[in-house]
Amino acid sequence: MTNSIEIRGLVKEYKDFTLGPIDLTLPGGAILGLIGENGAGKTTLMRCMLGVTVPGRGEVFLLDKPWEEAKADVGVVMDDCFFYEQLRPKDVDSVLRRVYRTWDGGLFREYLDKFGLPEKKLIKEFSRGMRMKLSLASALAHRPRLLLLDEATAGLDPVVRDEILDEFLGFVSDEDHGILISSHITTDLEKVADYIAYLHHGKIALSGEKDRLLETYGRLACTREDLAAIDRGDLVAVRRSQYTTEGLVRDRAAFARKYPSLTVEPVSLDEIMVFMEKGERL
Amino acid sequence: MTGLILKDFLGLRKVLKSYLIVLVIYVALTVFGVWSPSFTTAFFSMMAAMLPFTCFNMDYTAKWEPYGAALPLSRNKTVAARYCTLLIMQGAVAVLELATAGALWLTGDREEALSCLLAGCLCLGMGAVLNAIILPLIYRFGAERARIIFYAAFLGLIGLAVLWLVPLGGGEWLMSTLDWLEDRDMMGMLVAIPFLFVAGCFLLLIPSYFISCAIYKKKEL
Repeated sequence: MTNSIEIRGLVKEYKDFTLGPIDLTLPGGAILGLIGENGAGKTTLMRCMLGVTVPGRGEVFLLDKPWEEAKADVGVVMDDCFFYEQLRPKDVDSVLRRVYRTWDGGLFREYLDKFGLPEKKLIKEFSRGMRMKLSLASALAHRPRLLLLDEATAGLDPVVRDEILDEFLGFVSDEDHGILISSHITTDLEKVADYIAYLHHGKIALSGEKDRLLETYGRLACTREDLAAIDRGDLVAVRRSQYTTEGLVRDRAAFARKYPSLTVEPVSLDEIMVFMEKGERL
Repeated sequence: MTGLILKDFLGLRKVLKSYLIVLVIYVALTVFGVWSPSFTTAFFSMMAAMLPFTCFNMDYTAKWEPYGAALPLSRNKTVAARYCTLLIMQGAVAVLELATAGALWLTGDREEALSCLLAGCLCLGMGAVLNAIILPLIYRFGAERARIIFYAAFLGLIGLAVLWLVPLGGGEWLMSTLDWLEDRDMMGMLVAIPFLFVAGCFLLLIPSYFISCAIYKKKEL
């Protein structure tokens, strides 16, 4: 089985921000959800993977090939529709069939039908949801093996998001396919992702199998006195307010055995992000 | 690469349609003697020369560049596509100019035919020079900043030309050269000058292309 993504020691330096070093692997047939606060480097990472931004150091392999050689097998959806507003979906078909050798016009029209997109309507008359669906149809119609999706579901209503997420699940049912999706909507990732990577200030602060992360991490609510009695190594981060004290626990089961009087609850990806971003790291 | 050229023309469809309407009006006004054919062909040469600006603005508005860079096309091919778009437009204008001059020649108005050809060559050449300078600037600074830099440079060049023609005696040199040619019965050589001028101007697009490629290769999109 091929790895869909393999990143080794990727670094991109700017004056006031450094991405990396990033090491990341996504096996085939899986979805990796990339989460992180605004400005954490998610889009920069995606752009480095595609050569849109020139990386400083490191190596990027997509589908077991250097990224330059794999671009024809990669479908890209960014956070907006990049086609001119004065074009129509049928124009997009005409343009991209001359760009991708594997472009399948029939499949493109199938997606247009499936997503309810009129072939001859101007893109400027499309809603945001329709534009994102057009981007997705364009990304899928050349039969890619890897999808890179940057905030592809942002700003969409739950019904459209659900449709698109179903499409992603269908795509990765082939073990040769993979998806990297960056999103702020962590509930989407909880639904479809197999792996999660949390990017924080340009570095991967947390990564692993999603189910395992959600099973093992936990949220502790306790008093300040309770907190003082806990070994610092048993917590990842702590949030203190006037009325509550909360901690992010790395291993829920082990914590419960060690501190049977304290209650640890399951935690969502959103909560993990808030702890990592706003909490006091231990 | 043909996909990117097609994208440019599909994006320009509305603009080109409006140009076609203007062309019909101008041709009618020319036929009725309101304007000279030279003016009409020269006008369309300059309009065609400005169209790459419109293409870059369309890219900018649609935020096309990052998406374009993610396509399986090298950056050199992306640059080449834009230069090809320009050449196709200029080629279309050259055909228009030749057709107009040919029609005038056939109707017996040979003086106007030559005048039309001369004005067309001058404008085609200037359009090529304009783009040879401005395309690398656009790749480096973006369409809007490049436009300002270009206008400043253009005015500077006109200033230098005026300086050369009047106070530095360039005008006198030109007149004496013409006299020298006339004395030796070599005025016929002047006929070749417009064509050599156009060829020279278009050759400038070659180094311009390589400079644009070098700039675009390193550009963060």
